[in-house]
Order: sequence, then C-alpha cells, then structure tokens
Amino acid sequence: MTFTIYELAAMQPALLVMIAGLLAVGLDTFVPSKTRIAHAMLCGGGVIAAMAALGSQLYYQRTAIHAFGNMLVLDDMACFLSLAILAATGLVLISSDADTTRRNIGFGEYYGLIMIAASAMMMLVASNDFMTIFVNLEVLSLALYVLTGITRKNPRSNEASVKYLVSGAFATCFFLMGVAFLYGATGTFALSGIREALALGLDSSMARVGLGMVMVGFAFKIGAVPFHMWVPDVYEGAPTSTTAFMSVTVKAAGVGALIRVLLIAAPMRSDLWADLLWWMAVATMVVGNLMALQQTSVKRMLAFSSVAHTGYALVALATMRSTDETFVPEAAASALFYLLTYTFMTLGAFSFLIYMGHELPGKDGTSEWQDAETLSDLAGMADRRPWAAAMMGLFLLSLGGIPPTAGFLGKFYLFAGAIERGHVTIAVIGVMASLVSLYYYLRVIVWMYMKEPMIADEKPHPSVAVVIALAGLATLLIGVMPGAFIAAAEHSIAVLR
Amino acid sequence: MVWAQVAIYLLIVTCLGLGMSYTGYFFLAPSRPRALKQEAYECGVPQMAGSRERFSVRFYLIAIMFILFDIETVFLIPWAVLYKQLGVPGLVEIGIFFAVLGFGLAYLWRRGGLEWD
Amino acid sequence: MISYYLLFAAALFSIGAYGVLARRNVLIILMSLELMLNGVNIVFVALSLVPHGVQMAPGGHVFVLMVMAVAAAEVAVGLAIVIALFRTRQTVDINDLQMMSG
Repeated sequence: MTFTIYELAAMQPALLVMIAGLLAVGLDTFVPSKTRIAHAMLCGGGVIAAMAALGSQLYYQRTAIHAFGNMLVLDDMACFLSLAILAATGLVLISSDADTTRRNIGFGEYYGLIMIAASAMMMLVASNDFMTIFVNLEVLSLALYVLTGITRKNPRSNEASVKYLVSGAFATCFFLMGVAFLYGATGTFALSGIREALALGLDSSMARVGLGMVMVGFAFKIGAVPFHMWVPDVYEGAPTSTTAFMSVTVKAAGVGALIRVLLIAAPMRSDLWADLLWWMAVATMVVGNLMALQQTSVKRMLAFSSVAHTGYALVALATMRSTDETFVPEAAASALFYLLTYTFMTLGAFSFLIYMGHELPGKDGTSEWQDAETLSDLAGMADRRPWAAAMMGLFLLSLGGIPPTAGFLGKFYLFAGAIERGHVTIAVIGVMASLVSLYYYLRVIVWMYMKEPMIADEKPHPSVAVVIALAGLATLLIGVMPGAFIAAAEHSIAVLR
Repeated sequence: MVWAQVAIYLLIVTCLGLGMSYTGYFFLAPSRPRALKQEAYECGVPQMAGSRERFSVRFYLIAIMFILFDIETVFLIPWAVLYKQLGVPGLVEIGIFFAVLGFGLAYLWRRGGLEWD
Repeated sequence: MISYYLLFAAALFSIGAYGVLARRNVLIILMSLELMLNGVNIVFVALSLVPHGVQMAPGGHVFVLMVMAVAAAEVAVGLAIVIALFRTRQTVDINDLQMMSG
C-alpha cells in the first residue's frame, strides 16, 4: 500500500498537536532556561494551529480527505469533534498553568501528555479502520493512565491510576477479541469493508459476538453502565484538572468513534445493536443519577453525573432505528450536539472545583494542594466569590437541563428526536432521570448560596477564572443561539455516509 | 497393535522405576534432618542471606526500558524484509520512526533514567 | 484445523481473564493481561488463514504487530504506576486499594 504526501493532510491537525506536545517535552528536558509560559505558549500555539487547519478544511477544502487506504478520513464529523476536543484541551491548558505549579508536577510531561492524548483523540474520531481505532484508543488511554497518576506522591492518585490501568487494559482485551472475531467473519478491518460483508447477508454468530465485544470495549471507555465501575474512583482520585480533561474529551472521542463504527460498518444491521444500546442507555441514565444522589463529595457526584450524561448521549444512538423499522442516521447529530454542550458545562464545573482549592499542611512542614471536593468546601461561596459561584450555578443548571442554557437545548433536541422516531419510553425515562438529577445539582447551589462559609483559605488563581468565564460564555452562547451548532452537527452526520 | 505393547511396556517400566525409587525414599533411607541440611545449596559455602529477598526497584526501571525499546523494533523487521520495494519513502518513514524512538531515548538519558544510582 | 488454534487462544484468554479477576497482586494481574492479549494475537493469526473470496486476508499479521507494541507500552506504563503505588502505599495488593468508595 503506497500513499502520497498529500494524504498527510488528513492527519495534519492531529500532527500539529502531537508535535507541539513532543516539543514541550523536549523543551523541558533539553533547554536549560525554560519557563512555564514557554510551554503554555508552545502548546497553545499547537492547539490554535490545529484549529486553523481544521477551520480551513471545513470552509475552504470542504470535501473529506481519505488517507492511507481509507484508514483515516478527515470529514466534517471528524472536524466537528476535533474542534470540541481542541476547545476543551485549550481550556485545560490555560488552567493547568496554576495546577502544575501548585502540585509540583513536571510541566513538560504534563503538557506533553495532554497534547498527545488530544492528538490521539483527534485521530480516533477520524479513524475509519479498526487498526487505527485500536492504536489511537490505546495511545489516548495510556496518556490518561499516566495523567491520572501524575501526582506521584498522592496515594489516592496512585490508586486511581492502578484501577484505571487494570480495568482499562481488561476492556481493551475484550475490544480486541471483538475486532478479531469481526475480522474472522469478514476478512477485513476496514469499516466500509465490514459494511459490504454484512450487506452480503453474512450473519455468522462470529460477527454478532464480535460486534457485541467491540461495543463492550467502547462502553467501557466512555463509562456506560454496566462498565462504569472505574469512573467514580478514577475521577475522584485523579488531579481535578486531569478529571476535567478526561471527563469531556474521552466521551467526545469515544462516542464519536462509536458513531462512526455503527454508521459506517453496520448501518443496515441495526437489529444487532439497537436493543443492546437501548438497555445500556436506560441503565446508564438510571444508575448514574441514582448513584449521584447519594454522594457527599461534589467531585464524586460530578463523576456519577458524567456517567448519567453518557446515557443521554447514548439515547440518540439507541433510537436511530425508529419504531416503524426505518433507519434514521441523522439522529446521531443530536448526540454530537449534546457532546458539544456537555464539553463546556462539565469542564466549567470541574474548573470551579480547582478554583476553590486550598492548601493543606503536609507532614514535613510543606503544604499540599487540595482541590475543593466536599459540599462543605463550597458552602457560602456565593458571598465571597459571587461571580464564580454564579458561573458554577450556570453550569449546574445547564447540567440539570434548565433553559436558557446549552444543557437544556441538548436534552430537548435529544428527547424530542427520540419521541419523533417513536421511542417514547426511553424519552420519558430520560426526562424522569434528569428531573431526579436536578435534586443533586440544586443541592450544591443551595449550599453555595444559603449556608455559612466553613473554610476561608481558598486560593483562586486568575487563569482558572479565565477558564470558568470562557466555559460559561460558551454554555450561554450555545444555549441562546444553538442554530449554527445544530446545523454543523447535522451536516457532519449527513455527509458521513 | 505393536504400539499397544510398547505403551504397556512403557507403563510398566515407569511404574517400576518410580515405585523402586519411592520405596527407597520412604521406607529404607534414614531421615535425620538438621538445620544445616535444610539450607539452600550455595556451592558448599555458608549462605549469605535468604533467597526470598526483595529486588531493588531499579531492576523494574531497567525492565520497563528494556520492554519499550526491545518491542518497538518489531516494526524494523517488516521494513527490512521489504527494503527494496519500499525504497526511499520507506527509508524516510523508518527514519521518522527512529527519530521518535531516539527522542525517547534522549529524554530517558537526560532525565537520568539510565543511571544506576 | 483452525478450531484447534481458536480453542488454544480461548484457553489462554480465559486463563488470563481468570487471573485478572481472581488474583490480588497487581504484578500478576499485569501478567494475566499479557496472557489475554497473547490469546487475542493467536486468534488474529489463526483467522488470517481463513480464505475470504479468492484471497487470504493478511491484515491479521499486521494487527498482531500493533497489539504487541501497544502491549509493551501498556506493561511499561503499568510497571511504572505500580512502582509509584508501592512507594506511597508499600503494597501491591489490589484489595488494599480501598481509599475511595461509595
């Protein structure tokens, strides 16, 4: 298989991000006089350059680039999700300036790992072949295992990292076994090749089992019930900036790749996967919300809420086959739009926890950084930090789905679409679940606005405030004028086939 | 049929051999254990320390690096086999691969991962 | 003929899965994960012998190389994480990792 140098254009945005990350590691290692600002500028430059490349692809090039024997394809959906991932990465980079200094994290490694993970995610959403899907899924997972445990002296961080690694690798084995079975049944790894083989009426039990195992692997990576057990522990134990990064970007990348697998490899065999996804979506919404109700730690509550939000996004995929047996691939657009809204509101909520962090005295006279975690850490913050608390309120209302925020529109678009295609039951379950979720989101707001402050030594950092402001702005912007974003999501799915 | 005879013969011989040696071991040989006899054999000299010692964590670091740089060379074999067909583009690609691998090695070196102390 | 290879691979995969679920030492769990990946590798190689249409599908061999490289990286990262865990907690027993729950 030969390819021309022009095909590199398909991975140019991801390459820019990866090169910036490697340069950040190199800068940290080989240049004697280095500053944090230099790293941040380098990585920020990489992100902006990649965004520019994606923008030019969207507005000037317009046609999808198929590269490396159709293993990678840079189409509108890849661009859409890559831009969401890059936006999240950029915001995390801004706030990680504060975080690396406070926790004594080697910033070369930190920036490098974030950039490599982002680049792998961008290639994952552009992957059109199980080989590229596997490699990119693993590269991003490996980077995240290390990012979870990057505060090496912190026992909770270590524990979270081990749990993530063991369960992640276990799920990878099942994913690979599924790929192997699909390969055995169809003789190819290419998604389009698998579609042709399935279209020929090939329906061995091998292909069915393979598809099921592949979906188990994806369900694990995005944290869908019953493969969500790692989510709360890992999200709680990881440094909050890592949690913010992985909670939003992994979902975008994983659901994006799942959409591509379902819509390109098995669109006419929705009977194989639609029911499975239906049950998975229902279980994820119900379990995620019920578990979040019982949490006293806000960080852990947000972790379970992110499980629940995975369930909402899966509703769109589960209802692609309408009840009168017609297949409506356009339904996936609502999942894409929901992922976009979810990116900003969750990132903002986690950033608020970083903003409200304080220092704990350590054993040997040093002080250790501790992000806000419990409800009492946030009590009474509305008086002392009115703007930040208002923003947190906005994120929580958006997560709960209250107008005029982005979260409301995302949910509305999802459930209205599901009802339109005849799936009333799952829409009702989803609406009930988000009503339940309001209880625990509003509880945080009640604590912030109606309780007396319990701690007074929080040390906010201006860069985190910038992140919160930008995320809040995006949440409001998408909520007030969603037209362009919804149109972009619909166009992404429309050109996918 | 001739193989059945061989199999029976083998069975009998095995049972006989094992039976003789175990009869000797359990019923005939004197057994007077002493502490010195129970020690691990270390070429006749007294033991320095137990065999269940902890390994230094440095061995793990070496193992990690060995695994990484050892396995990555699997990509060299396919390239070397098809060297002529791949030509200059293949050379450039493997060069990029090596550059990234070399970057990793340089990083390791610079960070002191190769030093024993 | 091919079913023997698949049975062997299934045995490897199951032994590995049992090891991951039942053993408590993180290092042994990492070894069991390798066993599972090797089981998958054998499936890939065995299934690339199945003819599809007029020709064989040789992609399985290439995928095995990818799996091997990724598995090596995974073990390297895993060992590094286990070392960090041991330095802070003085244990590699997975049952001792109970700091977070609920």
